[in-house]
Amino acid sequence: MAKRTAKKTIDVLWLNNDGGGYAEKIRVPDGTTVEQLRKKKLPENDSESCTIRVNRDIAAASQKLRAGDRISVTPKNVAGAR
Amino acid sequence: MASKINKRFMKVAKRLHTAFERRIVGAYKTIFDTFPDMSEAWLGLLREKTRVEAADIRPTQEGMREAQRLLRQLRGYVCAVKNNSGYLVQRIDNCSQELSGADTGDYSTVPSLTDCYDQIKALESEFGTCQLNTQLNTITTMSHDVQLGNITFGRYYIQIDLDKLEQNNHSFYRVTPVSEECPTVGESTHPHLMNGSLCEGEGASAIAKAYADGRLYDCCLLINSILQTYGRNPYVELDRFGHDDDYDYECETCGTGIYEDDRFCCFACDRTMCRGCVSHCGAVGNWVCEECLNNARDNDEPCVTSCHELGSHDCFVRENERCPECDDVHPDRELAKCEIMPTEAQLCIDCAKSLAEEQTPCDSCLMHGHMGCALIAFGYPVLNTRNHPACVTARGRQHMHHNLGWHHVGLFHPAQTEGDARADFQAYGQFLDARNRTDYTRRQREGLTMVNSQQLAALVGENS
Repeated sequence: MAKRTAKKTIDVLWLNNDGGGYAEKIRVPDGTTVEQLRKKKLPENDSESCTIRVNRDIAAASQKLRAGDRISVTPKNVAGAR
Repeated sequence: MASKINKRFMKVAKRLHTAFERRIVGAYKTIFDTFPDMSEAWLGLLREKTRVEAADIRPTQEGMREAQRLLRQLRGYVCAVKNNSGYLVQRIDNCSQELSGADTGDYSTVPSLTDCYDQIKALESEFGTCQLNTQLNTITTMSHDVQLGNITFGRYYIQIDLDKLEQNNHSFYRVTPVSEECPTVGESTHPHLMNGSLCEGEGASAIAKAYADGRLYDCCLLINSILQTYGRNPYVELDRFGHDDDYDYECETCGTGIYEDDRFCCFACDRTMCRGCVSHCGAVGNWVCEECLNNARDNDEPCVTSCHELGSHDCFVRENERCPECDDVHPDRELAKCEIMPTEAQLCIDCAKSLAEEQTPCDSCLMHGHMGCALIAFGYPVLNTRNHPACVTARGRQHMHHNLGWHHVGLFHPAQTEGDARADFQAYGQFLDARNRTDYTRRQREGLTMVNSQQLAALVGENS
């Protein structure tokens, strides 16, 4: 019988600056890209409405995440008021 | 920090890290802000206690009232101390809670020195600048260029006040334009900016969370996003920034630019207005704004306290009904006030005087001569059981008295005679006499009518 290998996962910090601005440590499969994570966490948002940074640097959609990465999402448009 | 350390960044990072550390302690120390109020309340209580102890209270009615008054005052001071104490306890509890939560959770509220360094470096990378001002104890960065619609505002300084950060003050930053050419309307250099204060709108909770977590970089990103967006409810509408005219004033109602010669001032509130936002009041001969007029209408009072023309022809607040005698509209100060029919059209003073002198009742009221009748103030006799004729002729018509007042004879049942009316009147008079036997007011009325009794007697004799 073939031995099953456990899928490797990594821990990253997900920080959503939209709305409440919560931060949470999440576990994702190793090799997950920025775009894959965005689609999973923000399925209703398109990539044009927010800026995703990894470790405070603007990241490419195809960039692979590494353990301990800090992924932050900041909306491009935030309406002020009076 | 594997790469080479930038000394300038490290200097800024150290200052920032110190500010975050002090913020934790700052929350602890601010509970002492309430102590001056507590001291004042306690000293007030002690002074009052001394006064109460020293008061010479006699066992008389007046003495007891004085004692009650002193106790009420003492109670007030005790309550002030109690309230301040309660507030201090609450502050201590909140502070304890903050301190116990400071080192829990996934993200510490005191970012490490390394994290501060990374944030400063990221700010420099993102916005091109991150400067420390040691004298002002501020860190300043800049937003990206802001263009809203076809109006270019340029970049804005985002100045973080580290002193306020240490106090955990939520107004910890100011936003000011970099360029002197930045479009401006009054004190506003951006639709969502007023005097350097940004209205965060939808970004408020995210900024607050980032601030609480010590994520200064994220705060600046969000501030930048707000500056880049024109929201629904701005301080100043965007299209007003597009005007190049150099106006002398701005209408305080609609914000229109005004030159000196086109400037109006509301006589009531003294605010500067454009011609479209004021109305000319003929009653006072001055300009009044819509807001002051609406307030006056809501409260039914003159829009200007010095005005005595409320209810006149020219009044914007309201126009009084016409005097039923002369058919003219008069301001409030020229009206005789009838308390019997206050909601009906009121006689003007001249007409009331005339009717009173002629001893003629006014058409609209059948209670003339009763207390509250407007004519009494001008000499019309106060009618009571002693001088009340059962029947009187007025304006060529005969009126008989019923217990509800005077009525034209035509309103009575054809079978009812003058004798019936007299009997009715006498019975009513006896009833009133019995009821008013100790009535001070009745004695007053009788005193008033003594002068008129001869005139009335003549009148009664004429009609009997």
